[in-house]
Amino acid sequence: MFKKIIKLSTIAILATSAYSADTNNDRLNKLEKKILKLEKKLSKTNKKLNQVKAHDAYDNVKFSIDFRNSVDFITIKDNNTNTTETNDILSTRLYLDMASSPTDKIVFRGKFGINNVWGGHPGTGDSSFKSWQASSKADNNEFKLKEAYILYTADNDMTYSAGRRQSTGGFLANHRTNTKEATSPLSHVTNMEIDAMMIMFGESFTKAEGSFLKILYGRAHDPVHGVNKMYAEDGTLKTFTGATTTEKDKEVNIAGILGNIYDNGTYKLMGQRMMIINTKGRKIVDGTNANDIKSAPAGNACVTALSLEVNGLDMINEDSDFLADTIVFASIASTQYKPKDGYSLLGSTENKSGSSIWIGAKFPDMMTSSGKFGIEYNKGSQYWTPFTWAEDNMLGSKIAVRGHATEIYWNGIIGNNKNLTTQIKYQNIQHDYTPNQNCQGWVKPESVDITASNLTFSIRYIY
Amino acid sequence: MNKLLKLAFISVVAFSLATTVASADSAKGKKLYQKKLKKDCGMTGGDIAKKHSQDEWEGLKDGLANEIKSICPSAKDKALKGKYMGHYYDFFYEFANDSGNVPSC
Repeated sequence: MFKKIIKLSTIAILATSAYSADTNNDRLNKLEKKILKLEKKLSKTNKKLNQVKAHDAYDNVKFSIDFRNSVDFITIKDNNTNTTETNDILSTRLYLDMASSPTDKIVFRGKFGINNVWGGHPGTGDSSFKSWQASSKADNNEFKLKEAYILYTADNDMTYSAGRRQSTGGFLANHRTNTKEATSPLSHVTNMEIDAMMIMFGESFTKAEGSFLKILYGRAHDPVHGVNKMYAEDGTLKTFTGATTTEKDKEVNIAGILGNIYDNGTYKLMGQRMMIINTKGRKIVDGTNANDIKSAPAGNACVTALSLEVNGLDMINEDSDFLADTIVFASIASTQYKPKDGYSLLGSTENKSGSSIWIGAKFPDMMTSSGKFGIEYNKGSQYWTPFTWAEDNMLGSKIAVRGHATEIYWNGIIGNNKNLTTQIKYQNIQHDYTPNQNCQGWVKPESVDITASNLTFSIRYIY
Repeated sequence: MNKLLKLAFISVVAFSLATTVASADSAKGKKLYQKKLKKDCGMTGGDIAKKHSQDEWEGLKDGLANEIKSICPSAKDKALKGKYMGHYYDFFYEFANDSGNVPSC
């Protein structure tokens, strides 16, 4: 009996185990099938998500911030009179960038700028301040339009653009301003906000590696008095009134060409030639300040520059990270001011030419992973007068010096955060002739002996 | 005030010197691409970046050299050194077809 019970029990256990094993196998198989199904669904969902992401990625306007606080310790010494003035200026600069590209043929870029002196006095700035330097010079805490332009890229390797162009912080100036990408004008001769149209011809036209050509035409000055009220009033051309005569104002237009002559990622050679038509000068009546008319349309001004940047010296030693991250550059430039008969420019009735050289280097500091030291030297002659009135410099345009200037700087990041950068910069500018800071072509460069120096500390947040 | 300001900024600089470590950089990646790969690949870095989404580039990170070689068979081996990969990856990821980043122009 007992044996029967054991037999029956054993049979029951075996049968149950077999049944359990089958059930477990079934469950495992079902689980595996479910997992496979889920994986397929997840893959489909990811695919759809990526499609939505790709679609919406360009279906919006992207904003970015460039926020900088600086302190400039300025010393200006007149070596003839042995008088010195010092000032420390605290300032805040905020750029709000916008970008959108709804299709791969259209790009819109814009930038609002505030450049504010702490405790400054808005509204009492230089009356010759024009729209082409408005957001680049420290003035007040109002947002101004620094850039707003659209680009259309056609299928034939040509690009068309119009608006307030990217024209400050150009090629080579980006190193001292610690900006990753330079805008396209050559900063040796152009650093002003320009309202212009542009056509660009790509490499298929210009042939050399990395080359392109841009043709620009823009306007720097509108002569209609009260131009903004044109439709409300009977707008008339502004008239300058001297003691014995009058002079009709004229529009001042800018035209020129610039481009990459060659760019293979290491050697980049850029060239530019620009002209200001009807630039402001002096109408000569009798040669006296009382009767001559300043700010009259007096002739044309041309600037020309050729700038070379060598980005990386690792052709000397391929294994050297130091050399790979070192940049050197050199630039030569000239200006020609050509007055019309009966007018003068830069104090002369004859054509006046000026010239300048600019060299520099930027290299790893060997102390941090991304810090860089930079050093620059530039020299300009008596009649050197580039269009650099919006240069990012509390001392005025260093590039436009009629004398020579030296600058050293260190660019670094704070902590490990690439969004937070810092810069220390020291400039020493020796003026042998009075500088031209505001396109005042009626002013003759007079001999002076003024040394200006500036120690700048800045912290910048970029996002 | 003058001395105080200078001291404050010197402290910031000292802090910067003490705390940085090496990291990859998309701007460096762009520059490296232009120097080492553009001519052999016959297309811009942006064109390559757009071949994949950000998710896809993430998935290709470990085998990035092979992926670049498959897109640009003419790429030279010395252009695909290990020390460059982090920078290439950052650049491609930043300008992937779903990044929404507008190229500079």
